[in-house]
Amino acid sequence: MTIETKTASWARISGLPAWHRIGSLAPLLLLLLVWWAVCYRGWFPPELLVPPQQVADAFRELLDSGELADHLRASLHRLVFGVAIGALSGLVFGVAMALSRRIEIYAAPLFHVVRQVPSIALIPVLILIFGIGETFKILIVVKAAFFPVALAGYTAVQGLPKSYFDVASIYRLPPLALFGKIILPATIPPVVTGIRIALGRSWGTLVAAELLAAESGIGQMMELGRQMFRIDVVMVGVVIAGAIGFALDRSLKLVEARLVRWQPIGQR
Amino acid sequence: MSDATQSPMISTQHLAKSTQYLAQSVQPIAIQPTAFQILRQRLANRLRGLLLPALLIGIWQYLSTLGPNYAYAFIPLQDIARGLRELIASGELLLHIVASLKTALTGLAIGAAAGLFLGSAMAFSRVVDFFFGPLYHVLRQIPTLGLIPLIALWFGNTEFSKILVVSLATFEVMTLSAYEGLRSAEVKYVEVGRVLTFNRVQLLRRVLLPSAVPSITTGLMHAVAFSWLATVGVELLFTVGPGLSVIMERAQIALRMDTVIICIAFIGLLGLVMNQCCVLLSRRVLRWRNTR
Repeated sequence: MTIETKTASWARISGLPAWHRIGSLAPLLLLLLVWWAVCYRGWFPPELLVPPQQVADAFRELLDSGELADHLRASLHRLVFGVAIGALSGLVFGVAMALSRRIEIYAAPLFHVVRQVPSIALIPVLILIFGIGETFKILIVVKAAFFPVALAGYTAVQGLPKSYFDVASIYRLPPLALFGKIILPATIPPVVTGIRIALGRSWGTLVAAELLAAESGIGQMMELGRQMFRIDVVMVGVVIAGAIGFALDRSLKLVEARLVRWQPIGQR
Repeated sequence: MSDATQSPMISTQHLAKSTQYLAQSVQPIAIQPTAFQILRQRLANRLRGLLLPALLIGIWQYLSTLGPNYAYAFIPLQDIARGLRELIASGELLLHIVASLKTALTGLAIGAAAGLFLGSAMAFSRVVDFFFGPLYHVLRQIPTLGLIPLIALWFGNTEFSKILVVSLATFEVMTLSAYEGLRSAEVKYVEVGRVLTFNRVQLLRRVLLPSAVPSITTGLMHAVAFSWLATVGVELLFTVGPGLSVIMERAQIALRMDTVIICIAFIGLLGLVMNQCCVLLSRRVLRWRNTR
């Protein structure tokens, strides 16, 4: 679940001077210290809370056995594959819907109805139709990625000033050039934002789908850890799920920042 | 000289062309559609929008007649209707809808209140911001539903765990929107407040809160959407107690496609209703703003 905000969450921190940035680590270290102290004093039974070093050990163990790499590969493969299909078809669909009034008339109502249904809610029906294989997991990622990108593409093209199209028609720009020279450059930044949202949502949905039914993946690793009361494994999974979500969001934000460089600051 | 000889020919050509253009450009004005025509056009467009869903339902219905292998996944419409009647008649549907809404709203209330509290505390106090800001941003990176195994280990398969996850989902949104809303007050307004020697309460009431309202309202709308999303997720993953997604998950295990379809329809419908309520509410709350 990602939230759309005006200011980047870490930009606030990273914009501060270096000593302050290091200072923001202090509360995290404090939390780690409290966690360790609580475990050390034995206030919680070990099956409920394990000390940080045991989580680190579990991490190393999973890393050395190659288990973690396998799970990561499975999850990321589904994510990349699903998002690629979903985002690409979403972009084509969104732009088509914005350019053609006819497509909008025929397809928009269905689009907006299906958009309302949370991706997670479709897990049972997809399992019933496609079984607990790879297909249903990739399809759920496709669904989660399709709609944000389609919506971003649609609103981006709709938001293009009509004068751009007027100029294009005065110059008798062929449709391909219209697409390459006008529509694409003007819509890429909002579409990248859409892809960033899509990645965040897809990741959350995929982890949930893996928790529910999977034979590999980060979600399945956590679920297995839960069933075997390996809280250290579960915690490794939580940290990794967070780290991947953060890395995806951060890298797309960098792309966004690069793409809007040419715009005056006020219009960004 | 050549100009003079050619000019009559050109002008007749031009005249013909320009009358043609004139006729073209005048035409749309001449057949300005009447109100009735606009209404008919809109109705036709509405019906065209129904074409695609109808087609999909038709394909679904056709697939269900292809044999028992298909019929178990693509349940015929009459079976879905019968299932719906049964669920309504037994009062089961209402029970589960109420239970799901209760989970969502309880989580929303707790999460939004906590988020508003932490967000405004972070906005007003540097110390709170310093200590809780980084922790909050680290927690925020974790997909909320990814926390379920951990919460299941700590608190078990209980109603409390469900509400906790939903609260966390809404808490994340509200904290950020409260924080950014209260921080977004324009400096010049704050300075005007200073000039008028506002005290802290006055500054909060007259300057900071009004400028934070749009952000908080948007945050609340997101929070409502997330609370419903998280409710669906926790009910699928905890499968405990009553709830719309709980019976959906059980129906999936029992291979009852009809119940699954009905549940999805109601999940979508309720999400839509909540969203519409929020839009109306935000319009009412924000009606003082002069938007373009």
